Amino acid sequence: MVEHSDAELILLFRQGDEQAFTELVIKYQTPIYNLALRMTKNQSDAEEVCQNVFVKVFAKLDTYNPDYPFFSWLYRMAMNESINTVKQNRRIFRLDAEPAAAPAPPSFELADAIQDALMELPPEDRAMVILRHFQQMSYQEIAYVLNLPEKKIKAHLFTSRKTLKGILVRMGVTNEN
Amino acid sequence: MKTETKHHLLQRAVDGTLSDHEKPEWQALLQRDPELLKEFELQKEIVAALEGLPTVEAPAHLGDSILRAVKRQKAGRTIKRSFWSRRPVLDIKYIYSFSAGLALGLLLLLLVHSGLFTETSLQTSQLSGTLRTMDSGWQSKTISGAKIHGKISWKYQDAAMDVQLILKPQESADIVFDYARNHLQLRGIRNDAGAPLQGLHMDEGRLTLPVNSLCKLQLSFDRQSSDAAPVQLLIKKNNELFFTYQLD
Repeated sequence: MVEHSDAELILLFRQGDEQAFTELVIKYQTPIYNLALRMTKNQSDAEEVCQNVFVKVFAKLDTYNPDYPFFSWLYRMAMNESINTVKQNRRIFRLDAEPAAAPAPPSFELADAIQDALMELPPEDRAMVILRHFQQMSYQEIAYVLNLPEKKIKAHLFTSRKTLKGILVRMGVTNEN
Repeated sequence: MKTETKHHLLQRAVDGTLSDHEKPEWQALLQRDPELLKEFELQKEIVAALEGLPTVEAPAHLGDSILRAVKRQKAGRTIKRSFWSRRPVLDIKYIYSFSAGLALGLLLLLLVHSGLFTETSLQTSQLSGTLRTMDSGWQSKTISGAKIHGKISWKYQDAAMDVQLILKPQESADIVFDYARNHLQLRGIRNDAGAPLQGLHMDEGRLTLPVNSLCKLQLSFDRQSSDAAPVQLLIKKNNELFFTYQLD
């Protein structure tokens, strides 16, 4: 099977080849799912974010500006969708959640603890940390995805990492020094 | 050295983007400034932990469910477009729209004058609604009556069922959802109204919530089997039943 670049797949799709869209879904479903999962910490929310994102991509692919990399455009939609989901979920209380008064049990798996700590950051700051350190994006790409100035992103990332350290210390996962 | 310059170097050191020219300067700075060294170690530790987070495999069914959702969306768009796309001249569309608006306005005027819109209290037996299937897979029913009005919508999706209720009661009432626990397990409740949920009570397949103002709820269920999973909605006050409907 010939592997096409994003630009080729988009061109094929614009020419009416819907298989090209399926290839884009196959290529990007895992990174988008991971991004949404890190943002929401909920499997079904992450799946819903993925679905909504690709439905929007399908509807808007005609308007995509090829001056920007496709993945940045896709991540921009995914991040907006994830942030919206997170904000809506603030009004949710899960029936299987711990009662508010009871302290959450400490996470002993480092990855779980880091994910728990990430969830304590404001959604926009969490988005920056995920894009930078999980998706390995440059500041310029993050600026495009989140529509924020690079300077702000650098400053927020710096303080977010400090905050994360504080949370991990509080959780007993890491020492203060 | 200015704090700003120090911070700039720290940022670049954490990112691993210091130039060859900056590296010795940075090392010298670290030896002179233990606080800066501590900050650098902290930032490095967190970056390493974050970058060590594992990638999770997407669920096997995700690709299919995305393509199904896209197909549904596409079908909806085709229906919407087909009427308009048959008419190539834009001006004609405006004429159609204007004529339709004018006709609707005249009809409304006629109805108002004929007294058909006179407000009357409805009995429970007179409550009515329209059941329709929307493109997105949601079904809904309008709730209308003298003391309440709103809409209930529901959607089955794979192993889940979501129910949304928007209700504006004229006076306080109890919302009751009855569901078969061997078919459905309540996973979560989303409250989209401004006011917090108060007096929520859950008991053996029954959820009761007193309301006295605009209520916007979403209940999310996990389906235990693929069988029909009935949910009954009752809106009542003491023994007076305002509305009842079974979703299936």
